[in-house]
Amino acid sequence: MKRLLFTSVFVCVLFGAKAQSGYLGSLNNISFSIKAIPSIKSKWSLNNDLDETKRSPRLAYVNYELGYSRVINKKIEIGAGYGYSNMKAVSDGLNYFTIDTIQLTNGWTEYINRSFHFLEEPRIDMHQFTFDFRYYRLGSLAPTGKYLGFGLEFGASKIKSTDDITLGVRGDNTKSSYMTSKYDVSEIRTFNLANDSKSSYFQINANIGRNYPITQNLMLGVGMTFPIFTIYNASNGMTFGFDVDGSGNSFTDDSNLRNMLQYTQEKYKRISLDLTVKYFL
Amino acid sequence: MNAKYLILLAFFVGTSAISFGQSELDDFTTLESKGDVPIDFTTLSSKKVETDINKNKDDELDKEFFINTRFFIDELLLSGNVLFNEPLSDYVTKVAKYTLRQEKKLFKELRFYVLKSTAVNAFSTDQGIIIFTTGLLAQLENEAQLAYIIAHEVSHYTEDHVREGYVERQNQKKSKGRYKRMSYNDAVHTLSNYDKDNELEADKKGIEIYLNTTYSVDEIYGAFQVLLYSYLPFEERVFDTTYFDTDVMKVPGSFFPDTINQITQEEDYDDEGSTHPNIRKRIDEAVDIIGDRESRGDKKFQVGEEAFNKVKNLARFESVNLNLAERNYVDALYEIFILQNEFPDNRFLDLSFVKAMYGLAKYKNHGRFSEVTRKLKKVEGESYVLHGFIKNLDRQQLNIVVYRHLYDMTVKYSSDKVFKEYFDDYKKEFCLYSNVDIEELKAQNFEDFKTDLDSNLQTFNIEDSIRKVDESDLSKFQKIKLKKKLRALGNDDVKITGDEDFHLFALRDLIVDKGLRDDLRSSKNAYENEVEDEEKAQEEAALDAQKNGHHLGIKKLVVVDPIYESYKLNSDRNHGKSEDKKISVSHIYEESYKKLDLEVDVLDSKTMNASNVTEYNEIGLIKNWMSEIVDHEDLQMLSSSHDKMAEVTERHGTSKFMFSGIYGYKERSEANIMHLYGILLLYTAPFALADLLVVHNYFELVAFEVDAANDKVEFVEVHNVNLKGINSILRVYIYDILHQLSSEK
Repeated sequence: MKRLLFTSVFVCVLFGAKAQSGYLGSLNNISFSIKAIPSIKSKWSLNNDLDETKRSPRLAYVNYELGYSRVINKKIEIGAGYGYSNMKAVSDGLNYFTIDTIQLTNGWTEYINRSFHFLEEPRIDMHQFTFDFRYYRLGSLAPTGKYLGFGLEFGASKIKSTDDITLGVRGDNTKSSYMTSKYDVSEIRTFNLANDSKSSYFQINANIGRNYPITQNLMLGVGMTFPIFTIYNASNGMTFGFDVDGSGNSFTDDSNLRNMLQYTQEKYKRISLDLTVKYFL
Repeated sequence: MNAKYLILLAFFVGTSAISFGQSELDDFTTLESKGDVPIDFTTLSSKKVETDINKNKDDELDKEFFINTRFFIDELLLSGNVLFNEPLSDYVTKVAKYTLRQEKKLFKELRFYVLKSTAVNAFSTDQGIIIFTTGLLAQLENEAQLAYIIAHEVSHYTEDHVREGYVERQNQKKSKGRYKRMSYNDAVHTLSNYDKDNELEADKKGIEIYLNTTYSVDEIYGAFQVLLYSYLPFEERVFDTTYFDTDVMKVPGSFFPDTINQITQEEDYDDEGSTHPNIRKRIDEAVDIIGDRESRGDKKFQVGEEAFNKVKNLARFESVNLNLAERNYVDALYEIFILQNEFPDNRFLDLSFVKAMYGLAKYKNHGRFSEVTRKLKKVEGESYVLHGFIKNLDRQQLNIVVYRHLYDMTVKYSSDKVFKEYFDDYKKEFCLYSNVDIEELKAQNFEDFKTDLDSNLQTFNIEDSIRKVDESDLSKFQKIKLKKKLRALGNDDVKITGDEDFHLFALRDLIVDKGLRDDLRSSKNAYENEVEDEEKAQEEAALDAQKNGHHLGIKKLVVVDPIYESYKLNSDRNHGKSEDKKISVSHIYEESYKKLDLEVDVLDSKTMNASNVTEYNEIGLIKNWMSEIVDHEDLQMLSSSHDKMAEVTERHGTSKFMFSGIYGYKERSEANIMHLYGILLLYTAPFALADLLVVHNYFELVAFEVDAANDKVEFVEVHNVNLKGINSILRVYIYDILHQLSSEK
């Protein structure tokens, strides 16, 4: 499959090389894109004194991408890119239970269940590689005007075993509004994974958008990307997405944290609004 | 002074003057403007609108009036076909100056131009521009008739008829004033009568002006007669049926009609649907107005008869050009016939003759003859004979007549390569498409043939011949056919003259002295191979262009007056925006692009200044040339402007000319079943509603490039684009076109 794809691209490039003018004679361009995925999820942040934690809305996940694309013929443009984003994982009601043992004076052992929440979600880096194919429609000449296309994307992220995961016990609710709420912190505990937690995904998406010429070398692109099909691969095998139902899921070992990573990726790989600046060589 | 000497001097001056006028016509190619381009042509239409709106104190005139009139007239002025600072417009101005000599202030407000057009017409605008067509100047008999028409048109201006007509039309459109509660048909009728009343008023006021001159009153009626018969050629002369005869070829008289369609136009024709009253009414009104009054003189010429004749002849020569460009080849031939009586051996007329015959043969050979000839029942007057003759010739006959004349012209003008160009192209046409069987061409004299035929017919025995056919080995059906023909010969109504074969003998001198048969045989083979190779190459190029775009390798290009038209959502033209965008598009063509190896000259009518008269003339010539090529469609032939375009090619250093038009418009999507589904599925409802409500922008771009070296359309590109036609977007498309034209394979 990969070989066929590569061969097709190569053939198109080879035979289409002189056939079109591209953008004012330039067939190649490098681009910088900002992709924003709207979110209705919230995040937790610990203050510097470590005595208050705040829940606030995420609004959007933002991805930054550097790309290269080439005009193949009057209607087609292909491109490849590398994207990066840094975000807080989505904890979404995930708790950590411990069982504390207390030695009573009478010699009995009392077991106390303790529940720890995320006071601040761990930050994760997401890396992805993309390949795009665009078809310019309704009279547009590549790479200017309106397009429809599809893309292939491969991405991965991880939480290292050396990364500190800050959990704790939330105390009284000190402030509450529609968008944010604050809680006292009564206890903090730092947790580390036994091993690195990794999650990767492969996605096929569709994209639609429009490119506007700005100067003789610059173009501005506005578009949207729609996921069509996504496969996730957490360390414990391939799945098609993991959903936390928010009813108090717990973890006592690493597997839920790995799922949280995958869950974060799933939330991240949704419809995005894309803004791109292209520079023509 | 010695009387003899005086007579000699007068004779010398007279002949010099005549020969001066004559030599201008000897070198005639086309009428062109000269000197500085007037301010009427160089001021932007939007500027004129702005200025006139600011000056306007008339509440009934809205912005639309100024926009429509200024832009409309400017389109005509900038067509390149309006003449200024040259003999015709200068003469008209002189006559007008004399006619209005008691209205000096009025004269200063007016500008007089001449439009190259076969239409017999004149019109005036509210801005003081008065235009006469060359068709009119070609028809007039004397200066006095011109003076009356000038007076009539000036009266339209002084009586504000353009303004009044506009207000009246607005009232009719909005059902205001007298149009309230009027049915549509009554409103149209009333409006038509209003226009006619304006014409009668202009006649009346024009007569008042005219009677202050020394021109003869009778010429007012003369002018009406000119208008009445303006649909006929500028002269009615009996067509000489030996016109096409040469030393070798005699066209039998049987090919010419014996009678003509009489001229049927009457003065009292039905003027119901016309904006002008019929001539009868106008004459009657004129008689009433003039009454017993007389003008101050009885002259037919005041500025000068010689000047008038020069102008009239120039207009007539130009009429030949215009008829050729409009593919009215037979009308052009008749005009050439008339003019050759006064100007025999005139190069322009001879070349025009070649072009007309060449055009007729081309269209005949490719099954499009009806496009360039008129229905005989619609032809009136003496030219009927010529029209009838041309129609009576079959394909082979016409081609041989054309070959004969084109060949003779190359001999007459042996060092003139233009004649050779037309002949060489025609020879190819003759070999490939004329259907003439070279072997049937005779080396014999036609008269000798006819004598032999007559004597054979005397001794011919039909029964004997029929018996011989019966005894022959021919098939049953061949015998039936032949016996039928033989029996028909016995019919007393059938007269065998041999006239239908006259053409076979028309090239006998070339067969005997120049080896024509061998020449045509070998040429035919060569042309057939050439055409086959050309078609193959064209097919390959077309396939390649489809896949990969064009690669014409052009290094220099002339872009001719690129068009931009912008339309609003209600399909009304946005004139102001169209003008601005037109100038922007020209600038985009002129920009230098780093990655493009192409030099571009842009001729733009909207950015001319006073010194650009050469460009102005070029725009007119090139546009007319292009229009003719478009009319020819896929018929490959040299245009009638081919020789004139050679000069333009030399000036610009390239024979590649490009035309482009961009049309920007807005539309809403039409509601369809997909919109309904979209709305019913709630998630997509916003998108479906947006698609219905949003106004979509489109533009259509058409561009084609023609090589003036062979009058061939080499490149055509059409785009229909769903984007707004902003400059940055247009630049992409224009660059793409220039890239295709300049890139090499």
